[in-house]
Amino acid sequence: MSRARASLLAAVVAMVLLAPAVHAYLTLAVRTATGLVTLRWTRPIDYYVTNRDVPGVTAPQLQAAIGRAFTSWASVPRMAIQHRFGGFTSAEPFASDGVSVIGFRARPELDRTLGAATFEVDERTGEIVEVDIFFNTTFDWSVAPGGASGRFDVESVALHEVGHLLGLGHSALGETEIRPTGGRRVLGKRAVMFPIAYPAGNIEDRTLEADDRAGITDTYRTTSTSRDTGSISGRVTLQGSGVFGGHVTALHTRTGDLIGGFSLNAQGDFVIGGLTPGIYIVRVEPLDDADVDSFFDNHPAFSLNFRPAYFERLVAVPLGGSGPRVELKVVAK
Amino acid sequence: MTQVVRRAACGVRRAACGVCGATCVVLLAPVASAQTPPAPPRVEVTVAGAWTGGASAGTTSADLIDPAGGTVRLFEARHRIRAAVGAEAHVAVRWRQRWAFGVTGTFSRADLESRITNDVEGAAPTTAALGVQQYAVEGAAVWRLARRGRVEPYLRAGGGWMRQVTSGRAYLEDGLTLNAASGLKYWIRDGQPGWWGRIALRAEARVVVRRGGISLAETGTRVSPSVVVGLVVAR
Repeated sequence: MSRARASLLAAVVAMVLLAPAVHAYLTLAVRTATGLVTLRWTRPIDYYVTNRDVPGVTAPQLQAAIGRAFTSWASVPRMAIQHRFGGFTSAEPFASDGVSVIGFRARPELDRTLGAATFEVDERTGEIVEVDIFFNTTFDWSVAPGGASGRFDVESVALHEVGHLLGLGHSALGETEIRPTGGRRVLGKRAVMFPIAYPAGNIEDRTLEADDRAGITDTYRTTSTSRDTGSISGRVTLQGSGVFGGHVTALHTRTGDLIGGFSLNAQGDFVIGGLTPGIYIVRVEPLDDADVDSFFDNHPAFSLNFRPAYFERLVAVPLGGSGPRVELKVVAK
Repeated sequence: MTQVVRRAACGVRRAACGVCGATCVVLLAPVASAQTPPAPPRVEVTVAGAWTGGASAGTTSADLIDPAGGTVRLFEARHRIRAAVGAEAHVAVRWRQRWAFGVTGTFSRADLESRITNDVEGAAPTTAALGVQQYAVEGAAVWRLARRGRVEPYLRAGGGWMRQVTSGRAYLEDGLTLNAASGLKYWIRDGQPGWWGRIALRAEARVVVRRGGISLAETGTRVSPSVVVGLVVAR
């Protein structure tokens, strides 16, 4: 049980980087001969579900929960994701077969991982070939409508992993504490894409939060989404120098929606897109509530040595554009 | 004769004090004569300065959801709309003896302000602000009360469209504005021909109701007091 409470929802992504070049939402990307290509689907997503039952969850129940997770993402306004359940399969997740398979699998060595998504990508074009998702049978699972004590909720974890399948990285909108027995415990979070799960029995993650919606809207930008949403851009600086990896959050003063992003280059530049127009409060903090590896691959310049701070102006986000550029000045701890 | 005039002036003063101090100042001026006032002007043009009181604009909390379904507060912000100052121009045309109908254009500027406190990680409390300009076009009906010497009290009601724009013109919202007012005109010059033959000082207290426009955390309508002082030319 204690192992289950401390479990992580880390995505193990083969060949895929966790740091995009431009935008503040962490999206998955692959390096090709022509540069870094953000992973996104450009065709309908056909997926198959394993035909094996596990204690507490039958294959049809698993398929139904996964279907609800896809529908939640596809229901984000102005999204045009098309998904199709292809059928049940005896194939295993993580087999390199050109087919996207989602199902249970025993991975006892991953004793802090509830589930993961792996990508197979055409290295020449950056096009997604397949994405597999597994749910670790080392843990107990449930599809009960109200959740089940001591069991992790399939739909909640599926919603997170399907977010990866669609190309999203992790959000940092959460507060955690380190457990004496190892790992971290969630004190609170506001994004399904936060890398650490709620404890077993909880079903809060069945519902996408504003941060998730903004992230997917920005990842699958269209003319319509660019016209109907706005953005905040700026930089995070410490004594005039850019800060890499600052976690920037924007609070919509009227709705209370919290949207997070990151400063993603040596100049400390960030852009938070997909925002509902309105007035925002902007805050920056170090990324210290989850393992840095959950967010970025190999970034030695990553900075944690600064105090949280607010931008001294309210920021107006217009429809289809960006407000004045923001400079978040931080001081060292 | 003099006693009659004083009683009339005091009567008006008591009524006006309930409205605003600015109008009392006008009333304390002696009434020069008790002669029959001239007929109301056909057209009046007013240029005025306006002050509109500030108001609370609600609070917003940045909350995370804890495993029990409760909240973990990252920080909270208490919002306020600071007092606005502005200018307005008003043109009114008389209709019958007691009524006038007019159009008012206003411009004002105020700051939105958020006091950010209780940061979960100890960030220093901060006050974040943003300037907002407001433009409005309103129609108004004015009902003149009985004139007492140089003093002409009136009641006014109006409403119209407003546009609020943030500084830098990054963001705008439209809304509706309604107001009810009582005021006084003190005719400095009266009964002469031409535009400069009839000049008055005008002081007015209003209750302004706004719906829509740029909001922080407030919902529904916003009610603010307002005081307008200006110069009237008429013919």
